[in-house]
Amino acid sequence: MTASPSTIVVALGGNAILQPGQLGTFEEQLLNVNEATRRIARLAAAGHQVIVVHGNGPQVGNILIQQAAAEASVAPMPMDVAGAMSQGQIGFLLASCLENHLRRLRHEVPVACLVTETIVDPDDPGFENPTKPVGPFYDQTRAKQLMLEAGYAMREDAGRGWRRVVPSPQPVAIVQLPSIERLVAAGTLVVCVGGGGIPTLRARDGSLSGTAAVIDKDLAAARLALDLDADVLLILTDVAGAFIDYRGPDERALQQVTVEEMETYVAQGHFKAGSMGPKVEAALRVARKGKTGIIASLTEALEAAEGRAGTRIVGAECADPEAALRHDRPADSSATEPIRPGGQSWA
Amino acid sequence: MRIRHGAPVIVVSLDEDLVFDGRAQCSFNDLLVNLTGAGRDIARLVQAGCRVVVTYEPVPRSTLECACESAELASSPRAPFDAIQARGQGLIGYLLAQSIRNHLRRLKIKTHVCAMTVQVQVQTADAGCAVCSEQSASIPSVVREPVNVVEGPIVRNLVAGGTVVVCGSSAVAVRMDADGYLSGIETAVDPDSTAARLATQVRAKALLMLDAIDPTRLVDTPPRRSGELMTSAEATTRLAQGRFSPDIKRSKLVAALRFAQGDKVSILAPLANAWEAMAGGAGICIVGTESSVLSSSGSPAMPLPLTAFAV
Repeated sequence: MTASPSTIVVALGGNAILQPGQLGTFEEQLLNVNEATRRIARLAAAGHQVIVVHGNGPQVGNILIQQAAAEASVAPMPMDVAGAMSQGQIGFLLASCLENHLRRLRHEVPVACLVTETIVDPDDPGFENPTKPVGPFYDQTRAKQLMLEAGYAMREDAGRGWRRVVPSPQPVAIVQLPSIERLVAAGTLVVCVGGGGIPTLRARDGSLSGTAAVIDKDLAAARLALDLDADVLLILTDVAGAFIDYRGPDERALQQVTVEEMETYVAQGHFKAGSMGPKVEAALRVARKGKTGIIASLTEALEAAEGRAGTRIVGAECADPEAALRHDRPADSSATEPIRPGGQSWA
Repeated sequence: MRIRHGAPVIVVSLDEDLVFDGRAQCSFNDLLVNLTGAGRDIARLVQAGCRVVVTYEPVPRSTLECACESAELASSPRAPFDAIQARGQGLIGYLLAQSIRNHLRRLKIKTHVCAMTVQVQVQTADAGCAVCSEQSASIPSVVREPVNVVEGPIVRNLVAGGTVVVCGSSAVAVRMDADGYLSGIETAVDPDSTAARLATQVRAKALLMLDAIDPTRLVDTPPRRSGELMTSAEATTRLAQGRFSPDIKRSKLVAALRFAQGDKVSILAPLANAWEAMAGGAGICIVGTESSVLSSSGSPAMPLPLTAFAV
């Protein structure tokens, strides 16, 4: 079916799991994940080796809010552990839905969900200036109490109250990389590096321990793609790709751009930090190494991989980057007959 | 030191009391202490030359109820039972894998450690179905038997490569419909049976069921010596006659008996004596047939000559 199967690391945005305005019920998340995985399964069925990285911001936020609300009766867990909990929950959803979609497409490959840790550098500048707000809002009195008792960094958030802020360091290495490599080599579809991976510090004696931080999921996915020597990093989001002069009078969608061209657009300030900025940076990181970085809408995942949608950033030495991905389109039987999502029925 | 190819695979099943101290609530520090201790003893098994799969019960029932309570207090939606189990697998799997990895590093053993979430297929038509929950409106009290660990082949692949694999035993329960599609189901799965099921799937040589108590003290007359062999037939008779202490969970004994067939070995031992138990010096060792573990001289041999596998 496929002329040139590729190894593709898919970075799935948080909106693919929980959309703005939704309550965050399990049923909502299940339906969202079911739709997202239907599209990812098509990639795998087209013959590509797929590795899925997912976001976890809203889920970790909910866990932290629940812990804060019930701290008198339920022992709270630190933030790295909350991240691990979200990996388990989202990973299960993704894995079970992927298995069913792959079965429906008659492309039954095993699906594994690994709890993944990502090494960060204790000297990363992010640790000196925590900026990422997490968890519930507090009043000033409670915020000061938490600063004193728990050592939290807290900041007032635009008149809405006080929130804990944590560092957002760069991903240095994926602890479970050897296991991921082995499973990928065996043809397993691996779900891993959820939420960018659990931020982990390596002590001088080599031992590892978790730390309170947030790793950008797209940058961690780029790290994984480079370490796996993947052909493509496919960042799926809720817009069609990267735009210059986004929502301005001269808005223009970018299709295929070189690293140099994209770096120029970055320098001109076209991509917002905390929004499209990290996605562009992640795609650039793989493109600088001669691979392909793609930013595309979740609804056009396969089309983007085929070079027919999204923004594609290619390295200068990549003379014909689309050739590596060009293939026959698979029959999309799933489009006409939706697959019943896993986990939908509760006995 | 690296694990030699062909070293025996053992499945180590941790009782929930080892993780949670038998308490409804366990602080993070308590959890860390418990899992650090477990990680140390498991690392010794790896050091002795075994390829290890570790199973644990991710969330005790009481904690599940607390999880529901906390969601209610936070006015946020409650996740169903299987999703909470998956969350628990992330929690315990992460901490336990990290502990084992750190202990292995101290022992200068280059072995990868990996925690993964697993789904356990159950039969919705089994006897558990007939039991309805009366204790809680939100948490099911039905406990079902496992049919298949969905990720069993993946675990087998990883452990075959020498990776220490950590996964939940009363894992996320799923059922398979007539067309082969899986869906989550709000039920509990027997963790001991799941460990035995997984041990069979990964072709383990031994199932090591670790507990906080010493099971040799809980067998009635004649008293057992630590590490003494008991055939599967003898253990079955004892179980039928009620000659095991009620402090040993019946489900644990049933799972041990189910696995200990042919040349397979089930060992019940306290965590602190895990290594000694594997070497034949502690716990209760149930064997399929006594001849399967006799040495050439006719005397009982160690269940697994561990040191022979270390290089």
